[in-house]
Amino acid sequence: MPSLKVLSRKKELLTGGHRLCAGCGASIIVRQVLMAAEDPVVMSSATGCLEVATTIYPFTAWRIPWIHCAFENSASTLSGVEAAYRSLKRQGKIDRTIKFIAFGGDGGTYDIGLQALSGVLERGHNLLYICYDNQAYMNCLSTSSLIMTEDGVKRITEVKEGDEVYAFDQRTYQLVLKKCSGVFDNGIKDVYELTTLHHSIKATANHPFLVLKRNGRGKKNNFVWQTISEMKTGDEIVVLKNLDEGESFKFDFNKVKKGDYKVNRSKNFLIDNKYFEIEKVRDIKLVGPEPTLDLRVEGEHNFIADGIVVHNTGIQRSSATPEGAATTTSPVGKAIPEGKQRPRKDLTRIAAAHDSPYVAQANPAYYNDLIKKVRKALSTEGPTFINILSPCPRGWRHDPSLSIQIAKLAVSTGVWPLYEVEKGQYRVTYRPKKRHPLREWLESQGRFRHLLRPENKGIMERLEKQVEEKEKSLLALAGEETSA
Amino acid sequence: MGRIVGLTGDEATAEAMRQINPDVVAAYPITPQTETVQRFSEFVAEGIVATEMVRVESEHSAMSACVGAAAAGARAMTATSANGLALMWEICYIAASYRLPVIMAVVNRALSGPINIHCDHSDSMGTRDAGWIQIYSENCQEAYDNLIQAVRIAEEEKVRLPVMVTFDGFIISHAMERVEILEDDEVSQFIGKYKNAYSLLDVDSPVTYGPLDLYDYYFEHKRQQIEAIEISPEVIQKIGREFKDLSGRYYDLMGSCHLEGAELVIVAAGSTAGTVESVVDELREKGEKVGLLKIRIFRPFPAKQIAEALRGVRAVAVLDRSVSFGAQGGPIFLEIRSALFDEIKPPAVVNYIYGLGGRDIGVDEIERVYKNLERIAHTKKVDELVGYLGLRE
Ligand code: SF4
Repeated sequence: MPSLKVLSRKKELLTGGHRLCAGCGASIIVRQVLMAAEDPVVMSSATGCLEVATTIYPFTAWRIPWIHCAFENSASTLSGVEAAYRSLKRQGKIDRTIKFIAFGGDGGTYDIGLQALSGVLERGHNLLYICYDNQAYMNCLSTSSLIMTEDGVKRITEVKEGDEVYAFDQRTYQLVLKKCSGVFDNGIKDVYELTTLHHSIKATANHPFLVLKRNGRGKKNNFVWQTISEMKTGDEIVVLKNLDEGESFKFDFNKVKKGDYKVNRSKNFLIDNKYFEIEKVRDIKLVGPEPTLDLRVEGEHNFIADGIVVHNTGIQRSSATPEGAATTTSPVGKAIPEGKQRPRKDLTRIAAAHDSPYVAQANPAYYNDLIKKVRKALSTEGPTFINILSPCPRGWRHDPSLSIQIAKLAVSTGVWPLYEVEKGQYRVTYRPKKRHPLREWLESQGRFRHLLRPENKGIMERLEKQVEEKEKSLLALAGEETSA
Repeated sequence: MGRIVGLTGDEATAEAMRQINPDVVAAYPITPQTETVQRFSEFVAEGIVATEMVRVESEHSAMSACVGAAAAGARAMTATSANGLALMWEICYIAASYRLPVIMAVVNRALSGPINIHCDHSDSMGTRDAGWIQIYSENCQEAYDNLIQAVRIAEEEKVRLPVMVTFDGFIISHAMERVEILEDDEVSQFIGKYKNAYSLLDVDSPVTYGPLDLYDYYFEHKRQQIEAIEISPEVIQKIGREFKDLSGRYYDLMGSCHLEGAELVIVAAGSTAGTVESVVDELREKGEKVGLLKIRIFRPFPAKQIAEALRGVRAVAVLDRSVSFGAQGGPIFLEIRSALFDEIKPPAVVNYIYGLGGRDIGVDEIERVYKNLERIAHTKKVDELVGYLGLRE
């Protein structure tokens, strides 16, 4: 096989300028896959980051024929394309050799698209299905937003990881300083402008705000996080008092005392609160597509943008989300300290159980291995499947520059073993000399941070055990010895 | 020219499909469409069609595969009924918006729930806003003829839209009738070759299908889609005339009508139109001024032609074999009533919902409808805008 150096001279078939996040595994994977292909390729993609970020009309980043139909049917749509090819070829209407690759994220493959994938594998289409598995449903603030930090008000573009930003403590209703654990580029998205009496903020439709829910006379009021799309004018949201927008100022943090707020059941909920008050939403209107960013804040998961309390966005669990990962739909709490409670679905083995001629698991950090597998799959007659781990800095909560290092950790800690199943025969294609402790993998990403707490030691041990078991069963299938 | 055979509706459909010889058929069996898929599978097994048959695991995948195949420059067909069509719903919209000339036979069956396998029009009426051209057929002959014309309509350069040809489940799909079949080469000459200018298999000039289309373009694209379906009536008529030259059977936007001198008219779609026709013949012999207007093209709705055709009529009863829950009447009624709004002297219009879940409609019920129309024409009063035929109340 030619070296990566030689392969990289090939014309880029996914051009730059697409809007995938920096450090996104999906684009790295697509480039490696297209580098591997020797014949012309026709591709389909499921709805998801890869599709949305590469084809905002009238632009396309694809220099190959490409189709997106819906979320759950990348496999069946491409099966129609491949059937057309076979038919036209048989009728002598076409003579080129063309290869077919379907792409889907884990949501579009493990979950909603599983049936279509299974159908394609059973029917024996001559195509390769690739799942770019970022282990959750990934989905922000306009870059013009002003964020309250320890050093005064900053534009969101100037906030860096490690900066202390002000957040709203949901238990004491006070202003607290929290460390920012990441800034994420969300690409160009539709941005809405929400205005209250004293504030206005631009954010995407799925951005959560802290909304007051009045539960009626005699009942306790409470706060709920609601996205712009769920909100309407008249809703009451938590805002900062007397913020002089654009002006830099300091808060006297020490002055905050517990209990210096009063709940008034009929009127303003936060009456007498020194820093926060409630204002009614006056207007929500669409302003158009703008570059957007999001912050991740430790502990409170909220921060104050343009004087309004907002929450980090996105990231819902899928059946590919590993046990113990925190997502917005499997959050960490007192009752559920581990985040996601169920182990992930082992899709690679499900695909292999279809007796497909070639099934593999790959990782963009091991590009030689990945390219070899893609070549093997494309030269195999019949339906083939490769599951590729796809780092997602936004969802996994790590620095975009660390994507490949983290992908490597998945292999060295045994979380994502590299193997292939050829005509039913399992073979491990790369095996680290010594399996590293799972802790290294968990420490590398914010989504696992809670597992490092001493009280969660039991959970960590359980997960370590699972990796061990999984490795054992894989090695048994491959007829290899388990390491000492 | 042609030959006469006895075929059921499902068999006539399979026969038309054999002659069309599509490049790809992707289908999933569902009663009462099953016989079509089975018979066509036999053609594939015998090697008498060039078709690549994709035996999908669901109707959702059937329509997805048709979208893929049509985008790849293939002539793609499918057939379904009821819940199968409902499962396709999401992708039906996508096929139309990507301007792909997919052809689908819909064997009309009641939608669940509760589950029922017999005929009504709730399935195809449920997809009436999906952007497909819809052609309703009265009998096996029409199902056969319409399917062949559908290929030309769908593929016409300025139209490029999917077409649905419907006929009544069991009543037509499983009833043997006399059908005139064209010669194979006549059909293949009539439909010609399909050429998609934007094929996915043209790897030298890559195209992107299905990009993210936001508020800055989506609306314009929808407007183009409206334009395409609005232009289709003239194409449908042109192809109807060409088909007449070939077969001797003429098809217009409306089905064959008995409107000469008619004062009391029933509007109906599907097999019921045949029953109404026999009543019209009988009553006309007795000198009654009754008539029938048969719906053929429902999407796009030929409002102008229908309003013209009903000029001078005193009372109209629209028979709907489906319900639009909470609306002011059945789907056909809504269209007809709206089409008559600009008439200077519009006839009185009344709606009858009938035949849901396969409930039979008899000659006496239709005679009763004409009686009611007579009273309405006389009193110029519609007491009950929407009534039900053959319902126990
Ligand atoms: S959210 Fe994750 S998967 Fe989506 S583009 Fe960003 S990094 Fe990639």
